[in-house]
Amino acid sequence: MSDSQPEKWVRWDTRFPWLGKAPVSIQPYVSPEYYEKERRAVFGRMWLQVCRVEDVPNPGDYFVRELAVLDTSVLVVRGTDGIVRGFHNVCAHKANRVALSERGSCRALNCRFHGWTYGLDGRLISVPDEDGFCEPVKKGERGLRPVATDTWEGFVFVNLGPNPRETLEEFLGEFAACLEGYPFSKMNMYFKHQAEVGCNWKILVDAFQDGYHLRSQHRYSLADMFMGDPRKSFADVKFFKRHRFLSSNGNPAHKPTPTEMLAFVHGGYFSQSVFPPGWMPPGVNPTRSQEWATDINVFFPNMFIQLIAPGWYFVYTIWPLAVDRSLWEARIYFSPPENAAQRFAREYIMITVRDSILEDLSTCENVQANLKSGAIDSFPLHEAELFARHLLKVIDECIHEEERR
Amino acid sequence: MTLPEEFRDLERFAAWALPTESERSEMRISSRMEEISAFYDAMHAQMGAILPYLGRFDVNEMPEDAKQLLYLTLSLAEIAPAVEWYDQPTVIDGFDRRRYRSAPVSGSP
Repeated sequence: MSDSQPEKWVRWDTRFPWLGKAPVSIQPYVSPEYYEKERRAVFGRMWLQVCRVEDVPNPGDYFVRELAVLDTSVLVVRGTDGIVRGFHNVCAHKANRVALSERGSCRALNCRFHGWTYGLDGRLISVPDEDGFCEPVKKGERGLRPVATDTWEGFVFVNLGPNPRETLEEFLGEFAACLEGYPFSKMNMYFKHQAEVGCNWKILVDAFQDGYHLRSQHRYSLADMFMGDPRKSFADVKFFKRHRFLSSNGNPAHKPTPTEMLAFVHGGYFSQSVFPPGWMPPGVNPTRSQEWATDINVFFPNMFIQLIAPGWYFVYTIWPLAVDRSLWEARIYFSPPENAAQRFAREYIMITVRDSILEDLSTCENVQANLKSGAIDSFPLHEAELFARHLLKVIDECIHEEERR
Repeated sequence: MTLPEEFRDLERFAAWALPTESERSEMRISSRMEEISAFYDAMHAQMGAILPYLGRFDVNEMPEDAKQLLYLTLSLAEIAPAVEWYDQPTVIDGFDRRRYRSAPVSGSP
């Protein structure tokens, strides 16, 4: 007889009873009416991450983010004063796109339709043949329409609401505060991937906050690295007002493949630390687990910052295009390689992340297509899928708040 | 293509010395598994010498022959999952790679 009784397992869902346990309806994933409500109450009200400050490093540098969900295009530009501002990418004369490419650099923002020119602060500074206008152009009132813009730890956020009800700092709250100091800006080499995926945006969000699918969906790739068993691998779960957090352990018995081993040994796979020794912000690996592998920080509504071992991290953003179509974007950030062998290691990491994502995206499309069949009307959820409940709950709260106003 | 003297025998894999992820990925998914495996085996046989060799270079200041060698290693990274995970060129039951767009890497070559 063993002296030690096995510790009684407390299911994760029972630790958060307020999230409920009934199967969830598929309606929020398929209903065009619900999608319209989400557009207004969620994407039209919340702070949305559009780029990083390194995307616009110098005065005059700009970056354009298409926001189909809000029928607009946002132009982020760094002014001569160094401030990063956001505007609707819409000329105040005849509504043409002012910036036509995703990124660039300029001394002033010039619309190529009739040649109206705006300063980097959005002010209208020149109108060709101004005397020819039927009524004098009130230049002070015809600047680019500003969008509330702020930055946190180098991430640029915009808010398309007419008068944002919260500052970015209030929106992020304690969730983000405990990540402050993470050396995001040192990891400024990145790979960017995009794909249009035929599914509701929440199917994609769920796929990347799902601790239950690893063992099956990723059986060829990641499963062995994380064991696929949330009872062993979930180190910590936290829910904030809108955001959510999962800290996950790795599998200490994981057997690296030959190429993974090369990346590890020769390329500085996990060994090139950008942390000061022994230092980590409190929000990273908060349980200080010895077997820590990754933290998944899910920013409501549509952004993930996934932190891995020192030296790299990735950001996912998911942009709705329609109730059943979304734009997936992944950016995989690294500290710049010190030599060409490390460049190989970074490529290997990026490729394995990419191929794992390809495993998820095809399933997301299959799910969405099947939701139209009428064969099922709800999802029963496993304890490791509890994040999906939180997402739906927060969206419902946003919609209720919008309807009360 | 010319490779550094000690790796000349890998010049028969010149078709894999491609500068972008998109090109390397297209090469992977349009190749037969026997071709991928032959490249994988030949590269792994020499990676123990290749990586220390590449470790001497700054990625921004590489002679052309070393750069071609780096591209071969990046193709090895590209095809590694085909050999080690899937045993086929594409991701098993995966999303169509041609619908998944890669931008050029930013902040480094």
